[in-house]
Amino acid sequence: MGDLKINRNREKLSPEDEEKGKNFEQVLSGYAGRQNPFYKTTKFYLSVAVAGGLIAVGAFFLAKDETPSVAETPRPFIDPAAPHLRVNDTAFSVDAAQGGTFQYFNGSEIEVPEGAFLDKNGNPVTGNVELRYREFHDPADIFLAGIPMTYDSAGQRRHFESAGMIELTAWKDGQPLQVNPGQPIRVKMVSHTDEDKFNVYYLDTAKKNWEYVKRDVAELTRVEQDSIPAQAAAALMTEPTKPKKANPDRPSFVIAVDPAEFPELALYKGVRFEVDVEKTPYDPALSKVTWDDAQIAKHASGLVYEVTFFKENDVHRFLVYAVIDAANYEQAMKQYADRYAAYKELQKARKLEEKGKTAKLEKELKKMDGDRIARNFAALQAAMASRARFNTTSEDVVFRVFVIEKFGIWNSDYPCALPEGQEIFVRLTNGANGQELPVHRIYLVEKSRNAIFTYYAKDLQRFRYDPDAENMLWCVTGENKIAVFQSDEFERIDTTKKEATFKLKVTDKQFTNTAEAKAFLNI
Amino acid sequence: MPYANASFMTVESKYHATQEQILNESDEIAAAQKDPVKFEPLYNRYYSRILGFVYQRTDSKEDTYDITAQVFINALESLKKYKHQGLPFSAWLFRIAANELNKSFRKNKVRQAVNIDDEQVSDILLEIGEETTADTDARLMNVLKQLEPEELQLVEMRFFEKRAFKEISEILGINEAAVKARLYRLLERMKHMITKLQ
Repeated sequence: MGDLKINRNREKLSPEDEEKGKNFEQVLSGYAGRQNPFYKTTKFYLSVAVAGGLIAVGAFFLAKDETPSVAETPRPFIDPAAPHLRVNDTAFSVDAAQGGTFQYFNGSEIEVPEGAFLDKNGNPVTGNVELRYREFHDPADIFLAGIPMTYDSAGQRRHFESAGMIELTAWKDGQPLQVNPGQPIRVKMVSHTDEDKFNVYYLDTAKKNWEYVKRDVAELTRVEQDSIPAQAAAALMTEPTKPKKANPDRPSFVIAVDPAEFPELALYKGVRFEVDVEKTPYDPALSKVTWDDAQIAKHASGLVYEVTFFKENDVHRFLVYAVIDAANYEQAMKQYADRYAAYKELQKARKLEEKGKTAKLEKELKKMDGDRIARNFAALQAAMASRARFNTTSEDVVFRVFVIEKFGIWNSDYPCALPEGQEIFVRLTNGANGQELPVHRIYLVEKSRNAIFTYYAKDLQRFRYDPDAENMLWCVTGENKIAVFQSDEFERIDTTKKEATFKLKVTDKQFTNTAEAKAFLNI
Repeated sequence: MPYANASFMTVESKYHATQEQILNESDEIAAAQKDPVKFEPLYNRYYSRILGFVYQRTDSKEDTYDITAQVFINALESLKKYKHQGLPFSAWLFRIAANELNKSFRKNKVRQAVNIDDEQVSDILLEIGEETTADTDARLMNVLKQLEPEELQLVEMRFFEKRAFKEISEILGINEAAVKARLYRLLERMKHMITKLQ
């Protein structure tokens, strides 16, 4: 008993402490995660035998059967709505022997210890490894990436509300690698919520279910203002400016600028300053002068600046536009698209957080009568104070830690039931032509919750939603087109009737980046 | 030697279940065996007690929450095999909790701790016929660190958690007389160890 620690007169667990750890859902999740997959059970083999017989009989009678309907066509387990978009994807190069710490654009950290990778045969990997990492923080990320959000908990289908999700994989010479079990990778993911109700799950693609790992605990970390994540986050809170291609017919020059002072320029390579010759006449002879000094100042919004050149008493001032030379323009546009997506992401996450907190508080208050308000006043005050603290200390960042022992998708989520409220029979049609819209599954999104509720085609006979919430519905049609039913259309549903036809807006557009797709999804 | 009559201090266990409670519970257990969701009333009933049992033996609240959750997951997993044999359901749960704790300690996942207050120290010292002084207190702490896991378990259940012999026997799966005998021998050994440390 050498490592035994003796605590004297330790404080007893308070009722609040007890309540904090009480989570029957977590127990059910953990239990379900340990159950044998159905295909390994005796029941499965019996079912196979029976099904085999039925198929044989069925095949005889249905010899002239037609192509199965969209609803019956099997879809991949991970089924991206926009397969060509790698949502929020980033890659890092890591020396397998040394490891290292890497930062995602929002301040999340990936800590790779030395010797963290094994090849498919279990041998240690040396040399450079490509680490691919991405995060999913809202229903649109999840929908576009096609991550399953249902969870079979002890035979009951649950739907995830998310505090954030990550995908981490490692590659060498095009081959996927494994994590060395003795050297797990640690990911500190920035989360939009500090609530304690979430659990960690790993997506087991073989069993086609999420595997409960442990109860999750949010870590609140004060990030110093001058630290890299804080700077990165601050930069991301500013909308990036679209780069402009250099016009070869206009005079332009290059000046080295301080990236800390002009972060909007530091983003791109090949930046030149093009003179606005209409507003500030330019003499080509000036290009031959060696100037003593040059100053640059922001002139207006966008990439418009004022540059002043000095040589003894000679001073020349020009209005200029920051432009990108032809060689770097395509790359700059890609960077802009990524940065814009990240910016929208943060904006949305912040709005979602505010909205979620306000809606939750209002809901709590709505439910209470006068006496209960009085009884719970202190608790509510404390909760509000805590929320105010969380909102005002912008340098406090919530992290959720994943200890990665297997590559793949991990989440910090909370399994919940379908929304309560209205239950209707739903028909889906294409809003443009009124034709029935066959789908395999649809996703109901409540804007105030970071949750996505999955309905399969057969569930549409009993479609449940909360009419008091701001709802949206998304799906992918049989022709792999994204279709939406917006919140204002939800509000127009006649709740006195038991049936409703949802006229969906279907798009033919191939989105070129996540931000564009999110704009269509209106989130 | 006050412990020699093996009656020890009188302990009224607050944990012990009546026969009526045991029988009423068997319906709930049967329902939960068919449908895990129906395990919830049992979980709600025993959660605090299992949490307390785990907290007594660990150093952090977070470890306590995790292990407690694992205990109930293990219980749910083994529930189909559970057969009512006249013993309280709680004893079965405590046994699972003790096993889960031992597993966590063995794998060094969790640091083992003993949580003890001044009154409990005096109780044990009184039981083994020693005055409570700063010196005997310190020596008892040393002795606790030298006990085997099963011995510490016995001390914890009897003196820190004030469990009745009957309940300890149900949790450990041995008869009541054996519990008394083991505890008697243990206290003798502890006295010897404390004296030797002088």
